[in-house]
Amino acid sequence: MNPGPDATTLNGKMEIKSDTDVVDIRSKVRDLCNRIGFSLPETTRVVTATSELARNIIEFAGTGEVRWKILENDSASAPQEETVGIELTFEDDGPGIEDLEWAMQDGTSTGNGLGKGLPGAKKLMDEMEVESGPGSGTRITLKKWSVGK
Amino acid sequence: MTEEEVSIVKVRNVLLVTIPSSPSDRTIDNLQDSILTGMKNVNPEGVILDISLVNIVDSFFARTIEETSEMISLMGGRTVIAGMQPAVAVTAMELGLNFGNVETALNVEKALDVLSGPGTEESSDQGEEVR
Amino acid sequence: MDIDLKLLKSKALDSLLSAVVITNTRGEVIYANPAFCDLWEVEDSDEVTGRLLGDFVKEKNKLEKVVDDALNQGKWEGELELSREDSDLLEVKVSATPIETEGEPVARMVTFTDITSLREKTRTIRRQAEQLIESSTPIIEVWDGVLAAPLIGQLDTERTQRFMERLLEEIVDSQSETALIDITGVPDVDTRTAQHLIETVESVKLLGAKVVLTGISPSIAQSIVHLGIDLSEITTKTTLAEGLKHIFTEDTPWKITQ
Repeated sequence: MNPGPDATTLNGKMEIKSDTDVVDIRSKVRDLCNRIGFSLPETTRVVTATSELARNIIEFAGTGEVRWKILENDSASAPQEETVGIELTFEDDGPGIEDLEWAMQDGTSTGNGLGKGLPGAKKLMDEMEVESGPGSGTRITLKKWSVGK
Repeated sequence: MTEEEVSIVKVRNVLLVTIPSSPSDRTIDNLQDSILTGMKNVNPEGVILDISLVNIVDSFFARTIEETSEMISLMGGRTVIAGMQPAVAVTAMELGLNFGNVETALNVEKALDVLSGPGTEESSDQGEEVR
Repeated sequence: MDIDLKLLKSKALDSLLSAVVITNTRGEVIYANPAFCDLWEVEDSDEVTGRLLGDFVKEKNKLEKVVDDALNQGKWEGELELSREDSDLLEVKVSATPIETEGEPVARMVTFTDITSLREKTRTIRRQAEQLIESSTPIIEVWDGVLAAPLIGQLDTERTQRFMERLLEEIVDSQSETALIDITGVPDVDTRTAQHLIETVESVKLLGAKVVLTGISPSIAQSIVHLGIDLSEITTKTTLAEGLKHIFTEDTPWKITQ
């Protein structure tokens, strides 16, 4: 579903192809984090990770998509504990990450700064899943939970 | 929030640069040029980057600050980052962001003291080290 | 006792706690269970039958679009914010599925589950957890520009992270240039805890303030050295009193003029 500018659905997606889209997706994600009750530091972490990976899409693939989803977790092992979270998926049809292991190391850079930013995003979020390979595009899924983990 | 302008002002012998809350990439690029022009025209002791309005700092922003501070340093000035928001400091720390050879201050007033007050050796120990 | 399954099935929807509505292919309601009537505050299902699903919410078009989209893709499940006519905003989990006979869709079923209170509960739990953590790690302004934080008890990751966030917020709120962190009450320090402390010190520096660490017991000092942790960048003093003395007498021009 494509959200309109005033959509209140809690799931959606946005195309990323320019710098202004990065600003927009940050706004959207911030809004979602506030809605589900994340604290300011938690929100800042999520929005920063979003900014990093959205920029990656533009830098390495030119264009791509970010999808968001509000998560709910009724943990079977702790029925009293209800948590909410956010899931963000960054997908592009770009060249893909050649060496995933290398990219995940701390401090990897393509020569102009923090480069791929994957280790950073992983540190800021609770879960991260990367699917990528040379020539087959990239899909990165991030999750962050609030209240107990 | 609409895109706001960066303001650059000369205060005493220092350049005070105030950065808006959600600067676009173009704003950030222009910022660098404006600062360097300011440095040339005014030849200040240093530059204060007031980021008290900024609520997100990602690696792109950090890199820009790092580059800018390097340029300022080459032109004989110091760079002080003032007013970083708490949530930004937390994230910058966790991301291991490197702002380069900059000093930090709680606010613009203290930043001015750092740059033009007496006995400023103590404050230069507040330089940045990436982890 | 014979249980008539057919009868049970036909009664099942009526007994469901979730709101269920069945519409025909034109979007008109042909059945609504009691839970639906409760949720949307209508007297009984007669008021509902024959009307369009979107009639009950202010976000009429949005809801109808969701249901339409869903049925083009087979089904839809997600969360929406919908308001009743009396303007109450609810957070609702919605799922829409087609009902088919012989491969042809003849109707649609839409269920609604009110998760507003779930969300509220979550927010309350969070607040309470935070209050608990806050009360066990107080941060006090002991002097103009000086904060003191006596840490007591084991420092796990969660707690230390919260503490760091709060300390930074306090520093900015009070515009204090010095934070005295006292760990007299911390029984032991492992690599992880030391790492967190170092991170806290680094982030305080980013704000333009600094940390004085006090209360390092002999056993902690030993652990730190054995673990090979480098605290040389941090100012440390043995006791809180020493820490305060250091702060007030160190040679910093702007403090003297305060």
